[in-house]
Amino acid sequence: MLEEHTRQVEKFWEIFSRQDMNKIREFDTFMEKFAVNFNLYKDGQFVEQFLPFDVIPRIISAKMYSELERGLQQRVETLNLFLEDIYTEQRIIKEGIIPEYFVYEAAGYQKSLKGHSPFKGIRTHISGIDLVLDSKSGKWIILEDNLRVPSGVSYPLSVRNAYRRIFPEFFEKMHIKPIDTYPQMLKETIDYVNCGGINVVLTPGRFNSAYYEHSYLANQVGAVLVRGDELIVEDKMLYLRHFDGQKIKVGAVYRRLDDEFLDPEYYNPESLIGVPGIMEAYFAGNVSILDAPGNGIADDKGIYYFVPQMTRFYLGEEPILENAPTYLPYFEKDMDYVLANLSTLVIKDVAEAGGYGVQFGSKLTPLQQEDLKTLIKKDPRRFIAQELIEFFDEECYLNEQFLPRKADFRAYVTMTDKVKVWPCGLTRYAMEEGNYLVNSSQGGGFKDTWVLEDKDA
Amino acid sequence: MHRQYLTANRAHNLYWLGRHIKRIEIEIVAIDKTFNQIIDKNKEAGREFFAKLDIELKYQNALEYLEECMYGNHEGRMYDIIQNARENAIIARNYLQQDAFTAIIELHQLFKKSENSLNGIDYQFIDTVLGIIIRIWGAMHQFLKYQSSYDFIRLGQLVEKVDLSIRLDEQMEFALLRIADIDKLALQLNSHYQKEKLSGLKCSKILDKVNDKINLIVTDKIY
Repeated sequence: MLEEHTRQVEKFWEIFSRQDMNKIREFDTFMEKFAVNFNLYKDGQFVEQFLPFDVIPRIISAKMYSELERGLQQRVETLNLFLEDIYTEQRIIKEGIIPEYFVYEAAGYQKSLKGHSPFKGIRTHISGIDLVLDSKSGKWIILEDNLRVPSGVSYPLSVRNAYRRIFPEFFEKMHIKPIDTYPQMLKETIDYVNCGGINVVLTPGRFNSAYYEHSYLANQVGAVLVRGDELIVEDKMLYLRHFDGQKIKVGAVYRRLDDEFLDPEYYNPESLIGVPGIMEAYFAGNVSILDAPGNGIADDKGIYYFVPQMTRFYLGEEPILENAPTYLPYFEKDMDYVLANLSTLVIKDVAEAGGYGVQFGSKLTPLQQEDLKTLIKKDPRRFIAQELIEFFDEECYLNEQFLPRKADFRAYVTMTDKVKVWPCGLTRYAMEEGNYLVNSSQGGGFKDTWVLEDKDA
Repeated sequence: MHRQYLTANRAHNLYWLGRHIKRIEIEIVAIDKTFNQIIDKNKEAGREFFAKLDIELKYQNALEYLEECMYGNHEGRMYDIIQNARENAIIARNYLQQDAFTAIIELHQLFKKSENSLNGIDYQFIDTVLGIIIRIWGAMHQFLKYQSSYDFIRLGQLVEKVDLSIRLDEQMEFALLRIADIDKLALQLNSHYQKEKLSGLKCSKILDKVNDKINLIVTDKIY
């Protein structure tokens, strides 16, 4: 598979060598012109900045994509079945596949949602699955499942538009799969579970880091972009408050805020960005919320360990995509291994995301290692340990130099009666050599991802 | 054409976008005029103009006057107005045509980059600003004219025209004609809107009433 990948990459470089490198600056002009921003707070100040973009794309051959696609479909189908089961019958606990303790102690498990099944039984409407290409085996390895509010899709979508205009030759000669299908996939997903009424995208507001994305996606799918205070619940129905005083019924909410902030009457009473009563409308079946509340249990890094077993349990199939070799200190056997090999492992706090709570044993001093061991022994459920995966280095053109950088890949998957994988994704690379943390919140940049059509296979 | 759904917040954003861009347009034309007057006949022309807006402006010569208008430390500085316009455009970008949106961003970038330019700003800056504003209006008119989002932008334009015509020139006749246009547009946007009789009122009262019209169109009531 890697040989085929190499052939495609060579073709890219052949075309690339003919291009005017000065044109790379046009990407910055494009980002500036269309205000393709990523917002953050630095020292308490709101800062709008561009997400760093690298012009060398990640190239995925048709054959490689085909396997990836099947694996991702299987993964999301599995996770949806798990979520539906865990909030209803809990067969997977009863059958002893996952210890009860692991579910009930997970920060993402919401006991109060037990017994409620969302419209059409779909919970993983939009998923972002993080993978890396293992340079040793040449296989894709799943690092994380994001089933709550996966972000980032707007950046490759926006930049592709620019890429086609700035360097059209690649798209003429390389048969790259079109990616403008995503808005349609997303619209179908929202429409499929719409309970009658309009579609809205619920944003925390202008100062959220991903506001550009919220606005962009709402526009692409023809939904209304709203803040929580622009919606109202009456008689278990959700309405948009129109400027002239009319109430417009809302049938589906693509929310871009976490469960905790969704409804101050149900979750955090301090939340100012949610919609009071929206959960009541949801439980009554009058509105769909995408992704479903409660999905955080499947994002939990401790639960991740069990996904291959879930696939066997629910689908009766062997997993197509592998997890990174993972150890749960909760199990005595794994605890012994983790404590003995801490210096070579990656330790993750199960409740953290976005690159936070990740510690590389090799980078810790002996004293820090001992401290970490104490923490693990004290609260084994809080940690997982993984073998360090040597990510495939992606070539980057940084400061007019070609440099290898670790890169991961977030695949976007939508679910209706079918599970669809978008033939692109967000390739994120680390800014510094040897760094494995590629998250945007950790200073990482992004690349376009080119999935090639069959004719190039 | 699909029905356009607009919340009160978005209606306000569009209204203020219309006002801010119109304010830049009207004021920049007036600044150009006073700039010329400062060069050859009346050094006080700029101070007199800004005094009508209750702003005290300090400058030594025509070029310094331009710099002060755009970036001076006062409430009417143009850079702040374009920053407000950009903010409203970003929040309400889904209701704007792409060319109009990108032109607003370009206008803001022009102000931002010129602020620290070594050469300062000159008459060409004014010409460029006016050129971009014409593009903004053109794009809005061409693509949005049948949408209520555009009606709110137009409402902002009209209110700003009336506001500045009263404050700068005290053209009451012109203002009353425009107020009739505002009432027509307001009724089109909200059938519950009720117009008020303004003739006979003092200028300052009319100004207050006109500026408050948006609150009679956009409501917190639920029907």
